[in-house]
Amino acid sequence: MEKFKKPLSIKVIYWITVVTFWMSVAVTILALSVVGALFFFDLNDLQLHVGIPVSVNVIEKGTLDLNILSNITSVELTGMTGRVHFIDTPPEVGRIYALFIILIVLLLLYIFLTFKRFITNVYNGIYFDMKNISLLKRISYTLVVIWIFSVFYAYFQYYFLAINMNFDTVKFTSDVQTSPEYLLVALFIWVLSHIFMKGCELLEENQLTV
Amino acid sequence: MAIIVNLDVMLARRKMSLTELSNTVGITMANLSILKVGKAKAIRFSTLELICDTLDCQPGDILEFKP
Repeated sequence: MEKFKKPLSIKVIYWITVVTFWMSVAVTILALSVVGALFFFDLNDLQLHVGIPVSVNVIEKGTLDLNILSNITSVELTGMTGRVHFIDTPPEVGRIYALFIILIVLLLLYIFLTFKRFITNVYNGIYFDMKNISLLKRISYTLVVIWIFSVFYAYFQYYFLAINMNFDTVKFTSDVQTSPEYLLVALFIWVLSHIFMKGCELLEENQLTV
Repeated sequence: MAIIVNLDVMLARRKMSLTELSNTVGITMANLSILKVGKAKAIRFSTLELICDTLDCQPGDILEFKP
């Protein structure tokens, strides 16, 4: 039987995936240990930073000094998104965000694990197989779950934080930014799983052609 | 499937075993078994030609359409 020769691209992505997967497992264990500690200990000096996926309405005048321009251009900052730093985070708030972190880290790790299994199959020469189709579908559905989670998180940040924070110069708008890119990638992978399904059918037909 | 493969019938008529047919036409036993048990999804003209030549028959003797 002719030995299966792996293409270089597959070898490269396989090793990158394996190394990154084990690194992410190590980081996840470390992160979950730290985050899990929030549930058992009151860390009074916790300095939590959280992203706010809500647009900020600011009107700040400034200047733009580019080397290619002879004059300094006047500019105005009208909107931005940002992060919030809780100075000495209350333990209750820390625990809420710890739950979010645990959930998202586990979801991402699950995607990583599924992708590693998929790429290992490809590395071993198993391309058009029902197992691979199932793995691709799982990745796709998990990405949809992450998208739903990101929408929930964005609205949570808006209602929990943004509307309750007061600053002198900046004001949060009601423009909550979700992450549709997850949905697009999920759709792409879902389509890919159907292409693999067709490939699986063709392979079976080819194998059963005498 | 509506197409029935009568290879076993033709083999019996010619008093030939599947192994003999396999050796004569140069098709593996595994592939001939797929054809014989009706699991095959397609048959190449070249294969059909070899089988017909060996068994001295027509394609219609091997394949039958039953709606």
